[in-house]
Amino acid sequence: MASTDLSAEIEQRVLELCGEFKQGITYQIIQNDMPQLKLDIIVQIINKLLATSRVDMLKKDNDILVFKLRDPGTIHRIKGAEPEEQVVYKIIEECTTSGIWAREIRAKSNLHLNTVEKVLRKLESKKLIKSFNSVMAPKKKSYLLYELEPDRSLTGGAWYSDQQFDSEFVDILNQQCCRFLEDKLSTARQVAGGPMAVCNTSYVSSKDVLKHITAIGITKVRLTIEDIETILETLVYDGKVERSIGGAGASVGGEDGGVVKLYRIVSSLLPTPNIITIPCGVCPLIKECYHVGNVTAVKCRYMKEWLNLEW
Amino acid sequence: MSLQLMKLTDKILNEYYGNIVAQVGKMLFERGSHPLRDIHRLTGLPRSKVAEALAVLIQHNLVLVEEWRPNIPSYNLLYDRVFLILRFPRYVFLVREQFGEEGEMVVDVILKEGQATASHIIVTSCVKLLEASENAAGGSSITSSSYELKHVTLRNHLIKLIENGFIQRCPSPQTLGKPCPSMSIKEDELHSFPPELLDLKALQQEIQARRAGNTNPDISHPNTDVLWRINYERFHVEFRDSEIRNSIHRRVDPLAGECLGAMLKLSYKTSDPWAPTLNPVSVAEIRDQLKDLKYLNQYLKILEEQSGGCVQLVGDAGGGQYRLNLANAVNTLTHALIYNIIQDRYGSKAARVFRLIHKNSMMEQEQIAEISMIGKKDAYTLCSRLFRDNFLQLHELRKTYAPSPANKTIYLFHVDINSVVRNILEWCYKALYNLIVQRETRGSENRRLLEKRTRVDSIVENLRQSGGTDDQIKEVEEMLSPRKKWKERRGNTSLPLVWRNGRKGEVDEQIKNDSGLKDERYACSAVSRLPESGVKSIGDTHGVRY
Repeated sequence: MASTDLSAEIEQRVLELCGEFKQGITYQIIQNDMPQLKLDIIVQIINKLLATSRVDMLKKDNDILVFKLRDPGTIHRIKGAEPEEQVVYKIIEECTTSGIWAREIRAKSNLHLNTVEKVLRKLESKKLIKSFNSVMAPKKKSYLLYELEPDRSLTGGAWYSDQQFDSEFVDILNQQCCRFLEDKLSTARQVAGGPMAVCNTSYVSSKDVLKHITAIGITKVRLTIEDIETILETLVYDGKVERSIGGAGASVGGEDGGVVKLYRIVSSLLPTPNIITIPCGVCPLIKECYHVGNVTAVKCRYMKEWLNLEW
Repeated sequence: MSLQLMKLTDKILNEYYGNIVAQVGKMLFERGSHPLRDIHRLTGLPRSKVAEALAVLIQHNLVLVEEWRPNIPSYNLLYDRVFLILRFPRYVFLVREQFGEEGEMVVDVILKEGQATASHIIVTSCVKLLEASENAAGGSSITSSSYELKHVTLRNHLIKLIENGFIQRCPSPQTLGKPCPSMSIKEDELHSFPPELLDLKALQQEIQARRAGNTNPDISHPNTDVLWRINYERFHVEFRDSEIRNSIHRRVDPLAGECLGAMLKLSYKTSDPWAPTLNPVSVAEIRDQLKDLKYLNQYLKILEEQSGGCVQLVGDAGGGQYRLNLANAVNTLTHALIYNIIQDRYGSKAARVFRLIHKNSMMEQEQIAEISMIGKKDAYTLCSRLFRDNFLQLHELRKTYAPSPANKTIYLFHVDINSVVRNILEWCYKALYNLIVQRETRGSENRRLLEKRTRVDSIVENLRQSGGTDDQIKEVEEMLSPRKKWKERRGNTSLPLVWRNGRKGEVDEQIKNDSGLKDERYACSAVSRLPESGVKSIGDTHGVRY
């Protein structure tokens, strides 16, 4: 009786140690903690723990064995599975949301590729893991745990649907943001109190834009502030919008108190360039056009069309 | 200097001064400054013809005489002036806006003559104006007082134009009798008009004699050796300023434009209009100018933020000191122009890509697609198109020169504004040349038709005056009808040559601008020339809808 009590106590202590050292414990640590124990007792205890799947045994680079506490959730799910499955599952689990490629699993587990694939299929059918294609490398299949969502860097965030960049969606958002800012400007123009007031009220924070976009419900995807700022940034590069940084002022910012990005619509400094209004301005052959040869001003079809249309 | 510009110069000289002048001009353009003997030899034209052509060019301020070897002059073509010929209607229009009909006529005469004496300018424009008003009045006599005083008002207008710097005195030879005189003029004589130059009585006599039909009356004027010509730079300052004002007008509101205009006017009192940065003006001074403006301080603040670096706050003295940085203004406008051109030619996404690369100086393919939110393939296509047309440059970054898969070469896109500007400029020259060629072709294809139209018009006019019935008029007009539709379509023939050469200038200057602050003034003048729009409607006949 005494020996079972003792071994239970030691077990308890070992598990406690594992809990303390998250990166795992070695023999040495156990020995130091309980110097009176003999090695064979420790081995016995460890083996018992391993058999009941309460700790994992891992090998470090310098051939030192390390013991780690096993996640109770995993114990439950993978119970009764074959050892290969356990190994593969563990590798996939370690990669969390970033996913892992079948070939890398093979390298890490030292299993044959065929075995790995078989195991992966099995795990998939048990709904323990799932596969997906990253937007970076659409042909590469990666695996991750079933309940996890792939990382943003792999799915491409809100802008990708079915691994394809959804440029239509981006364009629509772009237009909607633009329209919203335009409305703001036209309401701002009615504000009394001088040009400065007009200018200030026409600024809109990215948060307000997000609110508006969510309110009109053009998308089911949940957008974050960063998402909407990327869109607004494209408008800045379109030259339609101007960005300014506002402090946590009275009108904007509010409770977050940090720096707020403000946007306002501006018109272009110049009207349409005149050169564009003549055929040569948009002529795809302008480089080939000379005073001799097949492409000349005299034979130019664009020019003729333009002249006849204008009347 | 470029092939396109040469072709264009050739065309313009041909059109305005004829074939021989064009040949001389072309040779001077190609080979630079040369003495008469060489021009004669290289063009193969008779010496007397070459001399005449050079005289024409000198008269129109297009050729500069330099001393080549002791006592041998050589001639240098000022090719950018040739190009300015196309801008004449714009000069005239500007003067009309600011100085009315009389000013317009004065400038018109000077532009046609190149260089002229004050008496000649006044007499010619006076006769023209009187004729015009007589025609308008339908032959009835004009009141004698306006008739008498016309030359006085014209003189006043001329003096006003000279004092405002639109017209300047030509340099005169300091040493007479030498084959190669050195031309110079004192600074203070340039824009002042000595009253003793004009004899009003002689002017009136000559005007009367001319109107009586005597084309060459023997009346002498005291100013035969003082010539006047147009001052291009002054016009270009005006164009540049209106361009800057308009951009602010578009961006903020009309009052802000006005505010900037007032600042410009104030700054010119103390500084050279072509300096990259003007001397500061204080808020108090601006307030004096704009007494009615309610929110002056707010406007100044907005201008400081939104004018693209044109208005800068430099101190607090006198309620705040503001400085105008025209170099920045010109730069901003040039960039805006380039963005607009790219947007209209390649689409707004291309403009986005271009702006992105321009603002971030060096960009990699992947980054471009990511930040501009354009699909990777599309972004790549856009970059390639811009690269093909020389709007983008590619910078190759590799660790070793030996090709190896391990060291991937990195390709960075960047923008060289100077080369973009040069590129667009070339392209404008080409477009302009094409338009001229097209107009010529259309004109010669339809010459007979146009002649017929003129004939029919004059017959109809005669019939009307001699009291012909409507039926008769209709009958005559129907002579043309079978072809009428056709002709009308050809009305275009006379070509809506809305010369959009604009851009050119601007770009041109921009190049120089970047190549050194010293040339800032050029940069400026560039922009000033920029909206060369709608300048030239070559409407030879009716039917011209421009």
